[in-house]
Amino acid sequence: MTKSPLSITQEMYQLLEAVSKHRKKTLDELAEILQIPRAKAELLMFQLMKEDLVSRFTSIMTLLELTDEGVRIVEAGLPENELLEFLQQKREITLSSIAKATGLPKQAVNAAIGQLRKEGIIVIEKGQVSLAKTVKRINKKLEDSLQKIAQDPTSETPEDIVTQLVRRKLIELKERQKTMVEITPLGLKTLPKVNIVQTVSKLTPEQIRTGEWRSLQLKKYKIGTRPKHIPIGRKHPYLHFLQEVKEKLLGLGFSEMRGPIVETEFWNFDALYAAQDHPAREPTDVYAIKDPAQGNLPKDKKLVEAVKTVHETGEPVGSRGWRYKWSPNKASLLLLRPQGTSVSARTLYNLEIPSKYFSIARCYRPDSVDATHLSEFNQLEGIVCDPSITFRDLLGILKTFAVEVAEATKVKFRPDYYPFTSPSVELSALHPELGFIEFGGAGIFRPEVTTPFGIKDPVIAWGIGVDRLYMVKHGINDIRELFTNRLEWLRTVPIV
Amino acid sequence: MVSYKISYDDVLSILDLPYGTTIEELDDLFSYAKCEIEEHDLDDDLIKVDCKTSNRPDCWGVEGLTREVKGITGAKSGLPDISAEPSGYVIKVDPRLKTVRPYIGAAIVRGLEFSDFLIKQLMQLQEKVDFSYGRKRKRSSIGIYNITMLESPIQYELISRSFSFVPLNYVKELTLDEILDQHEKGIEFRDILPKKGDLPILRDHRGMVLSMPPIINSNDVGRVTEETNDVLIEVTGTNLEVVHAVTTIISQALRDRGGKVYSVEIHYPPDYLDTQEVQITPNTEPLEITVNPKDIEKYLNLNLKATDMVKLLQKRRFDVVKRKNSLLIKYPPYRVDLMHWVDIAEEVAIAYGYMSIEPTKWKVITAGKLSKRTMSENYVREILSGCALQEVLTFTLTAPDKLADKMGLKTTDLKNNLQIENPVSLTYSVLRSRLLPNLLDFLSKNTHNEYPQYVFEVGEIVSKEKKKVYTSTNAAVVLTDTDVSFENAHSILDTLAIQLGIEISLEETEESEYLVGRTANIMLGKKKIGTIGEVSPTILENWQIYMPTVAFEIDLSLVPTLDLPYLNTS
Repeated sequence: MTKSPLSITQEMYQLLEAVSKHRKKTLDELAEILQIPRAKAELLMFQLMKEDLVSRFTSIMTLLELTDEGVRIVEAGLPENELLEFLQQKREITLSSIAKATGLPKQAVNAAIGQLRKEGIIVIEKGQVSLAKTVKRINKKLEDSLQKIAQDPTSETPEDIVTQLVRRKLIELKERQKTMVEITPLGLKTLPKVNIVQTVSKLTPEQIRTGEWRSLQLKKYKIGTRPKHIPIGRKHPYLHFLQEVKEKLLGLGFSEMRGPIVETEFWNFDALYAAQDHPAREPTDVYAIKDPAQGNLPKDKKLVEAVKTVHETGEPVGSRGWRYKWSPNKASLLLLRPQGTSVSARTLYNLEIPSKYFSIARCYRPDSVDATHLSEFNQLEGIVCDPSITFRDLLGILKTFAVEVAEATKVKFRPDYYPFTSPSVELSALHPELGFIEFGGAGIFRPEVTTPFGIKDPVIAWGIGVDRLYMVKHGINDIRELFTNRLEWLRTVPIV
Repeated sequence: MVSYKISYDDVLSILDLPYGTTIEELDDLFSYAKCEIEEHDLDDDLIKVDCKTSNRPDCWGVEGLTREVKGITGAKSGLPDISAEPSGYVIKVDPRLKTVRPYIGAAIVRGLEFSDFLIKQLMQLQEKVDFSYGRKRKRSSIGIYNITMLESPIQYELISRSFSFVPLNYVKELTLDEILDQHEKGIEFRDILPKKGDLPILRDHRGMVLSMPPIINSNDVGRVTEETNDVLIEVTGTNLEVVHAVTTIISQALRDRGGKVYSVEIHYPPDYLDTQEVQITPNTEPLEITVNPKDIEKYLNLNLKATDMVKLLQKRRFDVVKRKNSLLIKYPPYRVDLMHWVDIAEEVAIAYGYMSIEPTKWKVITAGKLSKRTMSENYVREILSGCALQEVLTFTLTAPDKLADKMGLKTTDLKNNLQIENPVSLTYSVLRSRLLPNLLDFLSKNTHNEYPQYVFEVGEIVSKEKKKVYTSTNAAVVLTDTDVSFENAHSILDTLAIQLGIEISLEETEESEYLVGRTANIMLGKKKIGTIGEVSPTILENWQIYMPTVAFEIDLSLVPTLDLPYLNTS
């Protein structure tokens, strides 16, 4: 049986070849030779070791590293030789002017004088330095060794020279782990007949265009590894739910209405026939505005007059009315709308008939914020107007909501109360685990509400607790979660 | 909504229901009086009832509730007994009361057998009616007294503030001023009374004090105990009809508890009332309303004839006189909620049973469309989420320090922000007029999470300008990461502008919350529509976001390709 020739990558081959050519090289040297980063060389070494083509030996080695002065001397030569050269021309010089005249650093001047005096080459008398002997150059060995060290910090240097160089602070000793790479016998044997392939981690457009990809080996992925997280851009999950609710209502032929957050009491209460001293209009139930405290009543004076009359006398609809003096001041007070019905009230003005409307409105109540209360929340409300509509039809509409919006199969109706409707009905839907859940209310607008707008046909008003619906659907128990601050949750909560 | 507690045993005995009747069955019966069982603890014989209507004070106690239910169970039919023989008692009204607390109603009920439980139930009814229907005693307040200690005539009059008597649960006399200053009830309700001048007092002709309406009873006459059999009920207030209705509510409840009701003559001064000077209370005549059965049938569509309606209305405790084309309905004087024939229609529907009505199929066909506002907002949300930004949802109510201090401003700089007059907490006391502080607040709570954090919000803001209040929509983007700078926000802004089909330009500017040289006004032609910049580390420090942050915010109302005009409040 013949074994098929071993396949290695081009890069692995280059390292193997280098190891075989330059024996006893460290990994750093090999990296230098191949002009690749050390880390890359190390990776290739491990890949070759896996195939048994190279082996490595590690040992602690001592590196001789030039100091700054050492580096200067490699270029300029030892200071004693520089001073010697100078004196050979000038013969003598005052001690104090050597540094300036030769351009040597002060420490180097001291070293130079020390060396030359030791050898008896110079004499110093009364601050005058003069040549005593004619010598061309000294400490040649030291200079040569320094040159060698500069080229190769691992170069072998006699111990006494090292000691001298260290003492003169021209070199420092540094210990370092040395990795030697050597070719194995198998490596030697394989080298001539190895099969070189190129492996890549990613294909380039070029490789695809030229067909080169056919000869490439793609690196295998570790499929089980968890990929990087994508910080995706996503709509808010709760707003997404509200959007779906809107789509369902659009599908049922409802049009959307919008209205201002800050309302006058007129639109929120008076137009809806809520008595001006009704407890729901107390500061404990609605947020009032500081400045300006009051807004303007509608420009349509006839509407304002009609609302006033129906409150005071119940006319022209033959109602008992509230039998008090209606205050335009009270009606023009500003508040944060506590119910979305104010948006419906605005729509009653110039209402199209027949029509069906809905709105999802941010509403406000002066509640302390806790797991079941927010100071602001959303209400889904709307109206249906048609000349032929009846209470029985109202129940039909609610049943449709229960099926389409709340996805319930069974509904329960119960008498309810709203100041602006009669009859009024509460709507509950059957939840598979939680039983009947109250999720909405409705009624037919009282004539005291519709007549001031000149509407003679019945108008159904309905509302659905859409926050509650979302919480039930997603098993959320804390209403504050609708406005959660948890970015991670927003990014990762399943959309379905 | 008014909630009150009743006893399970008591309610079964009144309704003559077998022991073991379930809470669900009771709840179903109570629904006919617009009440529901909110909580119950049968070990403690306790049921908590919520009455959903603020206009049925007669149903805020077990007596009225069961009076309604009896019509449904068939135990009773038609108008309840509202008769009252004259008691011989007279109350004389001081003309000076006209501007203080003008009206009074009264009844005497004899032959009662009070128990501790019954007294508590009566107190509860009194308290609920005073608080809600009586508008915290301002519109009406109820007093109940031991009649055996009183002689007719009784004076309802004004008296000096230095007059004194022993208030309930006290041993020594207090002057009226002292009661208002020191007594718990005086402090609670003193704002109802004038700050100066004489105050209301109820005394019999011998000077025996009943009470100081609407504040406190006297300690002897005004104390009802288990030994009391005969009581005087009195209601004072600012609205004659309300006063009369409340008198009936209480006298009816005591009649249901086995008492016999007697009327009291109220003698008003000449020209004090628009009607007769002598009023006899409680009202022994039913109120009337005439309805057209055809109107009701057209309204409800229940396929009912006039005779069917008569039967159903009798179940609602009304007497009905059938005429040629109409029904004359006689209803008890405590039914203050009946204002119009649509209310009679509701009574018919309730008696018929909401669950017996077969809902019709869908029939109003219309074309549904989204509002232009929502469509416009959706375009922007679509583009920004497509730029890999996470949408967030924040509150429109916020804290002044988040809008001011943390943004390097003073609270006095918040001139365009609307403040709440009656905030529950400072955290939600001012309306946002922009989104950036909310988004920084959001990011400050996520500094332990993975970066990059790129977020946006398209949301409603409220601002005021020269006393005018507007609701409008802004879009804000905040990008924060180790390596973000102006151009990252600029790219997104540019993409948004291209997608919205508008041509914007940037005009360098300086804003304290952004870094100098890296701040610009976002211009649409000559109009500024927003600001973009690198958020100043001074601001980031305030939010404890130690990460480069860039942002922009634009007023979408000013983008002509969108349809988001300011919403004016008036």
